[in-house]
Amino acid sequence: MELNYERIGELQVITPQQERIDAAVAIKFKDEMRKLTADGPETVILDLESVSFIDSSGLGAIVGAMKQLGAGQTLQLAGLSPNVEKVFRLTRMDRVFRIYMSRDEALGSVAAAT
Amino acid sequence: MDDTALTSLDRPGEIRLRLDPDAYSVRCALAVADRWLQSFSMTPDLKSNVAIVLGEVLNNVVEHAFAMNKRAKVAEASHDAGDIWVDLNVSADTVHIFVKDSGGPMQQLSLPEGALPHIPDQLSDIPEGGFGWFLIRELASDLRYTRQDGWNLLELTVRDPALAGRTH
Repeated sequence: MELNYERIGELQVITPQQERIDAAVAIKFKDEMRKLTADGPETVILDLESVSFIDSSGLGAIVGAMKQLGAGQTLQLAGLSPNVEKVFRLTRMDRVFRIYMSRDEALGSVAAAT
Repeated sequence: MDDTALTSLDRPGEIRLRLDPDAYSVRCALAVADRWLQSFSMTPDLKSNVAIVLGEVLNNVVEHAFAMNKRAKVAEASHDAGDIWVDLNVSADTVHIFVKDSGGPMQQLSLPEGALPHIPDQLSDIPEGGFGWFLIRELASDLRYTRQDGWNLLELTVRDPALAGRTH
């Protein structure tokens, strides 16, 4: 499970480098997310641009990654492909996360708010 | 990863796959199925619904029907890990899925209800699981489960959402 990590000012941007977040990698993904996000800036952006498929285990791992954040930290999502967006929408998880069209939109919006 | 065997049924519109009961074999089977589906002219929406449904069904088989198997694996030789067979049958704008596995039976010999888990306001209470059967029931229809001679048999149908008058 390769995750790119960037720190941009007071933001952390995490970009999975693989096409699938599924049952085969869900636990690993959640573990990696915990290591990367611990003690970092408050706003964490998960850029899913490279991800074309998630299943319910992958969805659960993303929810888990949000729940394990420290106090005051938030997880926001960007770059959902139509298939990934569908899974979030059907399960109503699109209401739980702030979702941006793209990484650039996320960065712009967060910068404007601070 | 190479454990997924592809068997030609010599009938157009049909494919048969065999896989081992583990998450990587599921991933591999989905890739094979997806590649095969590309040869049909069906909407991307239908293709993606088939991928979601098949993924959830197979993950459930691995995680539940073969749950005992997973615990016993240390002692067992892995060559007898169990069998999962998948038949896909495409006709017009409908994909029929037939899954057969040698794992343990469904609880109560019936399929889970698959209600959408409640999403509470408190972030720390949001469920991380329980979405699998909801997605299956949302995207597939005509579900039929039977237990026969030590096999679980599951049949379901995924229709093109546009034609089914739905908006997924």
